[in-house]
Amino acid sequence: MSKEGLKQFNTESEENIEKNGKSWAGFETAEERLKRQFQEKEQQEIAKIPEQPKKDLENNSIPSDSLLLEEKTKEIARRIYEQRMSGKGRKPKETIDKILEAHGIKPWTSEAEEFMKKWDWEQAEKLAKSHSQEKIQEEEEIDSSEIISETPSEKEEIKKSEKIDKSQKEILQDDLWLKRFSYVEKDIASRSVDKIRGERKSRIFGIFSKKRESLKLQESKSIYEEALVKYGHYLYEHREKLGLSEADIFQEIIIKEQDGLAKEHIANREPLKQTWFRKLMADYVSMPLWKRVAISSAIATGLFAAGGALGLGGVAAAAFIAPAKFATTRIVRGILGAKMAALTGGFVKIYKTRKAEEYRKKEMAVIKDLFGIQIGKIDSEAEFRQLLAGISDGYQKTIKNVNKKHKNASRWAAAAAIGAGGLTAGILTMTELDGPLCDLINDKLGFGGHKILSPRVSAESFSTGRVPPPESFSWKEAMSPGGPKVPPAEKLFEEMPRLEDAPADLADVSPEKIEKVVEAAVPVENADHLLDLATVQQGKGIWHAIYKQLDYKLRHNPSKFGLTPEDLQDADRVKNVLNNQTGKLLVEQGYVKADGTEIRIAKPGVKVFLDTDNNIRIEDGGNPTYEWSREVGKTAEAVEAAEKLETPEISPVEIPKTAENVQVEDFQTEQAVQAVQPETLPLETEIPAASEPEISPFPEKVIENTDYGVKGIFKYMANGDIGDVSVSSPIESQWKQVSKLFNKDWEDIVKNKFTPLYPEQIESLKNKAKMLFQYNQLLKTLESIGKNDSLEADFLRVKIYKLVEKTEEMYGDVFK
Amino acid sequence: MNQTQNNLIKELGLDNLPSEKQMEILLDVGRIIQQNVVLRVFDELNERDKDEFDKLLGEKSGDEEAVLAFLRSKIKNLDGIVEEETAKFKQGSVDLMKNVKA
Repeated sequence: MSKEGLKQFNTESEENIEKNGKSWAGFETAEERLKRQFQEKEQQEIAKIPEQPKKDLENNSIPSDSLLLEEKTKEIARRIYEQRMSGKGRKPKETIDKILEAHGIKPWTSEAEEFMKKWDWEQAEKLAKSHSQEKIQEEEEIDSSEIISETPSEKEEIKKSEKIDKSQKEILQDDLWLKRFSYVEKDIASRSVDKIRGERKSRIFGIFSKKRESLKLQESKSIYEEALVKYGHYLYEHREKLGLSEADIFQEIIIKEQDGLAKEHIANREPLKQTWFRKLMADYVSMPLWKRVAISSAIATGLFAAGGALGLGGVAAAAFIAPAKFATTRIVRGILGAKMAALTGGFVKIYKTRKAEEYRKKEMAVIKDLFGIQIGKIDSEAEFRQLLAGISDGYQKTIKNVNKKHKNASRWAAAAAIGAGGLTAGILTMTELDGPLCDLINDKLGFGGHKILSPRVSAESFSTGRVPPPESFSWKEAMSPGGPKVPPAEKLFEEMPRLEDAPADLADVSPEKIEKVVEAAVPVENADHLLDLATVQQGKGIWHAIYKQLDYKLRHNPSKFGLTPEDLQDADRVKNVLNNQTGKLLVEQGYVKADGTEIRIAKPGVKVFLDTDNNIRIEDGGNPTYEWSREVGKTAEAVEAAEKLETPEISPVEIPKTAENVQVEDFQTEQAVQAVQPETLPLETEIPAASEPEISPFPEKVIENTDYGVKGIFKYMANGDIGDVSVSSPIESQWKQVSKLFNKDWEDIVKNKFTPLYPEQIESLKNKAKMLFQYNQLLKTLESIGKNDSLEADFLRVKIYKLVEKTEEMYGDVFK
Repeated sequence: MNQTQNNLIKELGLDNLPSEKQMEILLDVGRIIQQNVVLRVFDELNERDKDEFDKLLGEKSGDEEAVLAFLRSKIKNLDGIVEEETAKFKQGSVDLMKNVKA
């Protein structure tokens, strides 16, 4: 609006006030008139814009006192309809279905749509009437909060009109919805007074109206917050019954409510702002996942709060204006993911002493600045890689040094775990030191590059010198028959020298210094051996790791296994005892299925610890990877192939191929051969295939999912591998289920709530979701019939993974 | 410590949740703060700025540097707004969860 326009507007308003002969004491009428005139001005502006936006503007204009009841009702009905369609309305979908059911109407039919439109209108009428009444009450200076139907009789009336029994939860939800609605109305009113005040020059008018609206707003806000707490409290009190976790409650009362508020606010803004909002938020949700994770974690963890070159403002600004400009690859995501993980998690919390904290802060400041600069400036993948490589150099060295310390610490922890048993539990747990995002980002973003090793020893125990000095305690002696007992954990710690008592030059907690301390203190040779026993080797499984540790224990304390020292000469007997004991532990603790198949730990380097109570604990830096063994033939082939491929690079700690190792492998294979018998899938139908060997000697397999009628036909290649799977289903009827695969932002996009995409792109996304749904259903079927480790299941998993990855590389975080 | 520097995930005791859930919450938090900042930024723009911003978004959609430069030139306290919204959300969440559990 031009200055001239404003001037004219003000003059006219004042003139009108004078004409009507109203004094300032009666400013309420004048205020209303001003608002109306302001709206008239807006209407003039509407007239200047093209037809469609004009329509939008008319539809979305802020409801004000001057609107007739019908207009008000229309506006509210539109909002109720929008909220209902987006699933964020006052009635959950299940309740709507119940309402329809009560009226004998089938959901998702045109009859249902008609009925719900009418229902929306009735609700809107009630609200509009209630709102008008509130206005009258306000004029009579009656507490505005009374507009909310809180009296039992009013509630009863609503209840009856809905002809449905409401649960306490629904009552609280409804109440909250009404109070949120009222709060937003007040907020809008308050802002329009601000606007009028800004455009008028009268100070008295401004102070008066501002104060009045501000009081109303405050009151309304506290009523709304009270309702929110009440609702949250109800959920918390009944969380077990309702099956809610604290995280669910957080999402329900904070995330969902904030979404609701934003939605209400934006629905009442001018169309231009609505468009901007949709565009910017659509850009945001279209951003690649890694970038949103980076930004969200920076904000949520306070990483960029202070000191960084970019700062929080820069991060957020980069976030809402940054479209997904460059393609993302796993490597780039991995690098950034790892960096963020290191910054927010692992690396940050390694040292806790004062000096180390200073060191950390200094390092962090440099990294934060550098990283902060990067995030807003990169616009190509190549640049990203280059810049990261540039800033990473020094940083990588630090990480490498720190990891080295952790490896040493880890060895000691492993020894403690095996020797002392239970010592690690609760004291040396790494969870305390794992950053909340460390595992998270490594897992989710498929980080497969340099690994941030999670510390195995707590920083506190580390920095306070809880490291066994070699001269005061010997693991070797403790492990030997008749050797000294391992002291209890507490005692062990008491006996350890504290770092603060160390010579002055050791009090400097630089990585180099710490390395010296650790290397001097840890009985590396013994610890290394114990750690090696617990480490899964290339091509081996959990069986070997447990067997070897039991063997170690048996040789140091044969009586525990019911043997005498002389029995150790009888290799066959020892082997039998060990095999029996290994099998027993693995079955008891769920690592071997009743049919004899074993959960193999596929990744070499995973640690499988066995404590003195024979509890198995798997440790893999927080990312254990399990793989059910395939049928025996395949397992043997896989092991053979892996052994052929074994190289020093892949498996740095090789176990010599001794007769004992071979025998262990044979025993395991034999057992598995006996246990696993060929079986047929209950839902599989074998289709005889052509007998020509050049085509494929393997028949097609048909898997059907009875829940949704999804059918998959697996076709095989000549070597028995799966060539492809074709899927089909009457998918259209299950669109409701399919759409649940989308993240909620994307659900809105696909439903055309936001429209950042072309219709063809939306269609393509829908097809991808359908495909994903079909694969998921087939996989579920296979899992339900015990074929979760079959070739077909793995094939589907790969299909699903690739489909999700490809889609999300193009569009961002589309799927849940 | 300034509220913006707090680790919300930890403060709400959500750091023990499974990774997937943490990720979900983290992304939700980021999006909400984003939403709130965007709404605040709109209010800060005056009539003339609004026209310019609209033109800019139309012409240079996706040019983050241009948009950022524009916002920085028009909104002197952009960083402050983000800090405020972040602190408000964090403080509000922590208080609300405390009240709910009380």
